[in-house]
Amino acid sequence: MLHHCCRCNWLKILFRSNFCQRKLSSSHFNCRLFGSDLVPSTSQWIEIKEEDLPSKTILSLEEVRHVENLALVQYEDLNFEKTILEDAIRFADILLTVNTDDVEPLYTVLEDESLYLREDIVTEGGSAENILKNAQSVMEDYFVAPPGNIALSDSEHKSN
Amino acid sequence: MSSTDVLMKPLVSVLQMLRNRVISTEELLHRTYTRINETKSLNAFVSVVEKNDNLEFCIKDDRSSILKGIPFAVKDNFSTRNISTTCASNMLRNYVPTYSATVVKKLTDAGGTLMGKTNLDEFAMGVGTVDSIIGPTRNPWQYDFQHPNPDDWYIAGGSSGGSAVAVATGASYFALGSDTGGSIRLPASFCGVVGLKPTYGSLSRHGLISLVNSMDVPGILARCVDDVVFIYNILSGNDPRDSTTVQGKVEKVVMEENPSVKDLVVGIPKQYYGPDVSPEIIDCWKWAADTFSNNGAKVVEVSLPHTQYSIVCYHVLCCGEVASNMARYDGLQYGHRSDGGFTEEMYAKSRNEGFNESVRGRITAGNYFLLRRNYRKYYEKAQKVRRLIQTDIKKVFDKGSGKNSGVDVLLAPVTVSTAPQYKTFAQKTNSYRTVEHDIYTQSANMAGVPAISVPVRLSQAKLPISLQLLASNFNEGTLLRAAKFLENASSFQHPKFDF
Repeated sequence: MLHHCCRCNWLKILFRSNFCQRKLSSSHFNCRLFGSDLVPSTSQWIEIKEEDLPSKTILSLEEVRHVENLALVQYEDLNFEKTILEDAIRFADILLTVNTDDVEPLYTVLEDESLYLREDIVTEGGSAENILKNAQSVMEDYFVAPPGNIALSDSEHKSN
Repeated sequence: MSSTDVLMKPLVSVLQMLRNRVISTEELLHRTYTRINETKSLNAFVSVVEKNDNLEFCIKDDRSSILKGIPFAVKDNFSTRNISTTCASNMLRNYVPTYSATVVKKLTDAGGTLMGKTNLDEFAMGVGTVDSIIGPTRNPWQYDFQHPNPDDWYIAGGSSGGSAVAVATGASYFALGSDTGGSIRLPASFCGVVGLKPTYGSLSRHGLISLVNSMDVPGILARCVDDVVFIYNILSGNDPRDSTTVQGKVEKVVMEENPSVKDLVVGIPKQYYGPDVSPEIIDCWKWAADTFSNNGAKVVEVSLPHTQYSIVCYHVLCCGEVASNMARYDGLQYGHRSDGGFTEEMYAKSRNEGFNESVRGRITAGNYFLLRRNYRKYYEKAQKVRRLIQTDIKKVFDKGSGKNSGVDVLLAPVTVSTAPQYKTFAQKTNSYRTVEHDIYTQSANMAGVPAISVPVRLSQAKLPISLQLLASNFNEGTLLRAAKFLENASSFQHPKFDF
């Protein structure tokens, strides 16, 4: 199946499978596989059923809120966000059906390359003005922020 | 020749015309501005550089430069000095970078004229160029320019849809895009242009606003393979500002007029025939396989057994890296800033106002997968599956490993269909469509290998059908020669999209 061209004598042709016989009109002595014969005729995917997956993760509203607070983003409707997140998790569950025994994680496709260090020489600087340029609130050379030390989860000031 | 004719010519021809003073750079820019204006209903550009600024700059008409003032466009997630860079998001609506991305600087240093920033899905998350603060970009194919119907048009694909449309319509000779999961190849295929995703590490990401650091690559959209080669040779190479660019492995590509594919080993990855691929695309795939074999190539079937898990893997890793990359947007140093009594409140409000739902969705999912209790189960698991996917691909390209290997290029579909109509596309969510359309493109990003989309013919509905070629790392030469062969053999023509 993997060779693209085979020379067969006419006796062998009689016993070849269908895809070769239909090319007979071009030559009695050449039995050639065309490129198109190698494109599959149907989907090659394995069907993954619901029962192949572990049980579906159902989140509590607290858990959703917890992720919101870590992410510092939220949806307007907490229940809708719960559904979106559960769907995302469910889709990811497909990975759990793949055997990864003795497989190392891949952090970067450049793992076989060296990172090059440049010389420790200053080549640019004095860019304070550029760095501050796009900030909305600046005072002298400082970015201005409201006070910290308060976690969003502890406060009643939730953006809704 | 009509105004648009010269704008549709290949780079080499136009450069010749400029050299021989058949046309001046100034005239070329005038025509390009006219063209951008003519096609503005397609909404390809987020912003256009002031005409006078560009003309003033080009008056010296530098004949010694490589690009001689040739106009080009850049996706609006590449930083451009003193030119607004929005990522099509409210978060960066008013952001004006103080530096340019390396790939942009290389083009302007080579004498190119930056015309404008092109539309994308917000922060490059999407496959339609429909989720943008300036609205969706429309595909020029089957678009009624005379009587445009607001409900009846085809999507451009994403997320580099603006760049694809600018190139397809002649508003730009070539354009920069970015490809994280297929964001160059997909719009290229929907718009009938060539889209190259180079090897990870061959082009600098400095100045490309990060989506997924381990997969993002800048890339090129143009109307022919020759033009892609020309620009690739300007852009490729190590950049001290991007430590993930390699040294010594990137070579300039030399292209023949009629590259031969004799003895080229072309692999047909069987798992790229998944559920829901359109019969027209399968037919095109078969035609291309025949064309290769009829011209002396050795076409073989290969197996990439983990292909169907690649999109799931992409989903987890993408969300994880997005959660990390988007953490920088808090309104403090740049970007949209909302009021808040304390920092976390300010950050949360700024982010909720600045990011659209799709972006927030990915950040949330990413944060979930990165929770300490989930990290091993999902994120590390995805990294392991990524290795399996990369190993599958490496194996088939490996010379001398026996069965299921020794391939020079892989030939496959780009996606499951031609460009969908907007009204159909919009019925499903961003994440649904991402899973649907990035299905055959993101594997190349997982493995880092170069891949290209080449338009080959038109469908029954007169929309472009493209095919994808992949090669092993840093083998852009092999990839582009196979692409040029396919282009030469195909019947695809670029229309002028005139009124």
